Amino acid sequence: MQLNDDILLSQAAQGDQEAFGSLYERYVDRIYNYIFYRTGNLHDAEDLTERVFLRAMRHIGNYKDRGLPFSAWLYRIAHNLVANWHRDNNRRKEIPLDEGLLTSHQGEHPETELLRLEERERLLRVIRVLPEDRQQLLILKFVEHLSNAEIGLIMGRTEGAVKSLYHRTLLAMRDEFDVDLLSS
Amino acid sequence: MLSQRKFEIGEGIQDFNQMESYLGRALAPISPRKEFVDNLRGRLANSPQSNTRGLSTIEYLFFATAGLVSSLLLLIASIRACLALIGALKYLRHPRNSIDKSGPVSLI
Repeated sequence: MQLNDDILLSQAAQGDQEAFGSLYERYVDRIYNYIFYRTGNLHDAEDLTERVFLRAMRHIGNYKDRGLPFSAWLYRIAHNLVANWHRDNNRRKEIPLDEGLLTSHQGEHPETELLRLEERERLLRVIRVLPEDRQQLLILKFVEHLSNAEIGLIMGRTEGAVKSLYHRTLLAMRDEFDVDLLSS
Repeated sequence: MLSQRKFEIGEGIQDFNQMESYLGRALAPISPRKEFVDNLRGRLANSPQSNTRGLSTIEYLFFATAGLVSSLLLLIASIRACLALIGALKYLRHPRNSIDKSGPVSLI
């Protein structure tokens, strides 16, 4: 039987390493994906994921349940670390696309695959020029498959505000696509 | 080639639904390396900071009270030191007044 987050959290806060390990296994993929799409490379994704969980473990005793899911707390830690990473490295616009992003689909015609990868690269380039909150929204929605309500909890916004931001993001992306296509 | 591709993408992004499906395809979740996940799990389990926990309410109150009392004692000690210093300075500035008040010492 799978224990819910609240029980695991209270056990982890008492120093139960197994409980924290269970929480880690539950969320490591999500946090890793979030960081990977925000940084664009595997090495930094692993490094920052490690830091997120080490920080979470260090502060889990101080975790206060304010009605937010535990995942929201982890995403906020991840968000802060990624923001620091961008600030420190100042390489937001020159992130190389890792091989992990450009995985090939077996059996595809080479030309079709190349076009698909080009499109994907273009899309990620467009996403990276968006403001941070919009990037976060797209990743939570499409990579993590979270609902607007869940995204709202993580981003500290109402569901309506998330919807509105999402709509504006799609509009901005459409414009960016046009600019990107003209410049390429 | 470029104009054709522009048409394809441009046509797609006119419709938000198509754009959403495009985003869904492009932003596919990936899995972290199993070796990385296992190693980090091990490091978390062996980390000496695993047992760190926050203060309970009673502990918090105890430390807050102790801090307050210590601060008060320090304040009182500082005030007493200041008063003693002021007294000493007064004496140094007017040492005769103090002697006059006590009067000359008679040796007879």
